[in-house]
Amino acid sequence: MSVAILRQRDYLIASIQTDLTDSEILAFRDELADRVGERRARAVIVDVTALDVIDSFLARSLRSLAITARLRGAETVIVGIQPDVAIAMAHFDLNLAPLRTALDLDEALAVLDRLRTEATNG
Amino acid sequence: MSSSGSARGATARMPEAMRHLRAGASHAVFRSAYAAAFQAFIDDESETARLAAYEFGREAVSREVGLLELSQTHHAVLATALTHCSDSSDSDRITSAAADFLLEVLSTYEMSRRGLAEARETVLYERRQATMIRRLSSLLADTSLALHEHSSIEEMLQIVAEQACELTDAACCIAHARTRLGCLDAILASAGSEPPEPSRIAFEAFEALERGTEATHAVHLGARTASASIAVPLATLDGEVVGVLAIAANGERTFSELHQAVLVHIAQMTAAALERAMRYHGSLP
Amino acid sequence: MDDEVVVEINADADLVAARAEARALATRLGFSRTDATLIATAISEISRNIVVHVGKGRLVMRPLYEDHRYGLVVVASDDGPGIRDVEAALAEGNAARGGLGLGLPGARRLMDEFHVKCGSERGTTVTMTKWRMRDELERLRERRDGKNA
Repeated sequence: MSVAILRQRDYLIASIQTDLTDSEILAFRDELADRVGERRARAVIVDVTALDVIDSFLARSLRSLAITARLRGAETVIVGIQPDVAIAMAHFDLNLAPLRTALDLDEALAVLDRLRTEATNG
Repeated sequence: MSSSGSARGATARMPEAMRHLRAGASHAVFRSAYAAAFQAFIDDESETARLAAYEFGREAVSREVGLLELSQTHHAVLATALTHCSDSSDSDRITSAAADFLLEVLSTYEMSRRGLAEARETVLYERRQATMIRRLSSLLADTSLALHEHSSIEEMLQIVAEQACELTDAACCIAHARTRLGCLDAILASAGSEPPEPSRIAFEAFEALERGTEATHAVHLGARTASASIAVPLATLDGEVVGVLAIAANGERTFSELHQAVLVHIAQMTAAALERAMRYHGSLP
Repeated sequence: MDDEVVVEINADADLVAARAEARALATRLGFSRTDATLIATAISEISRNIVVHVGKGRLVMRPLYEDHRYGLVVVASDDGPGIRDVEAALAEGNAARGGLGLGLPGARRLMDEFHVKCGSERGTTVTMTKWRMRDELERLRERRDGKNA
């Protein structure tokens, strides 16, 4: 299976192992969106460490996922974007909000914890 | 069975053969019907006889005679005919004619076979559509739980526009909502290829709709750069139009009734979610 | 090129003439027996549609000569009430007459190109084409025979 989805506390962690076709990307996005709703997850972390390429279609699909997740009360964080990939992505003229990024899983969890504290205090 | 026959003779024998060919008929009955049709063809290989062979095939398909049975029957009938033939040139003629006869009979089966792959694709496509609508429906029913910012309504419309675009195979889709009635506060989301002047299209759609359309109807907009465009209102329970959902197609495409129905469905779900969200924020009395 | 063949379709009996002309043309163009039969079948389905639904119409068949391929195009036209929803009529699973899914969609599956056009008020025109690829050998032979002729 090219995508593994795990659950940790009330976060979902999805790891993309290989390049996905367009329809696989859409299926992945829809699956994740379903799970967020089902489990009432507070956040989705998508690990793209294994990917050498992130094209604009995948980027747009991840953004779409972030919006859907947000409508269900969950944040989305992408971790593991390789440096080359990051440079290529900078060329997309695409506003990826509300998609967030973090260097790795630890940082992602830190970001999410901070957001949660802000939400309760703010 | 006589070995001579006129064209009229061929057709006269055909109805006889087919009368015995009813659904679930025993192998023996099918075999004798096949043999009769076969003989009629062998006797007279005119186009009239070919037409009769093709009609026989059509009947066989409609009565769901299986291909294996057909194949076995053909071989048995051919074998029998060959034992009765006089010399090698006659057997050559019979064998060649038999091949032509089989071609005509099987041509209907070929039409059916090619339809199978298409049918499979259609089923998959429709299943995917149904799943997508179900997902969108559950999302929209859900969103009021998380709407704590104005931008959330925009995000919701963004998702709606994306899904509507995909579900109707449109080139682009525009979702427009007035979050405060009568005020300038409006939200515009679009998906697909960037339409020229999206706010213009939204304005036109609104005008078309305000001339009085029910929430169950789609309105055809004047084609500008698109080959076809339709708009559906997003209306509250008391009929107030608070937004519009519009799609446009390129090239020579038009939207089928099915696409229109899908758009109306999505618009109704979206309107309900919008209304809930707006009440939640106190934007509606 | 006056290779055009016209067949008027007024009754079941005309199917024979239509098929015979199509088969002859297909054979002249070098189509295989199988393809010639498929063309005749497609014509039968379209013609039968005309006879059953409209009563009369016509078929016009002509050959197409291209360098890499030869083709046979059939234009079937009638002045009937037209097809309200062409997409639905061509769609798979259309069992309007509890049918076998033959007729228009059946014919379409046997041909390489298939278009249906309806007039603004009435009338239907079906244009369908089948191609036969010409391989190197055939084209070489043609060039050689052309030089020697």
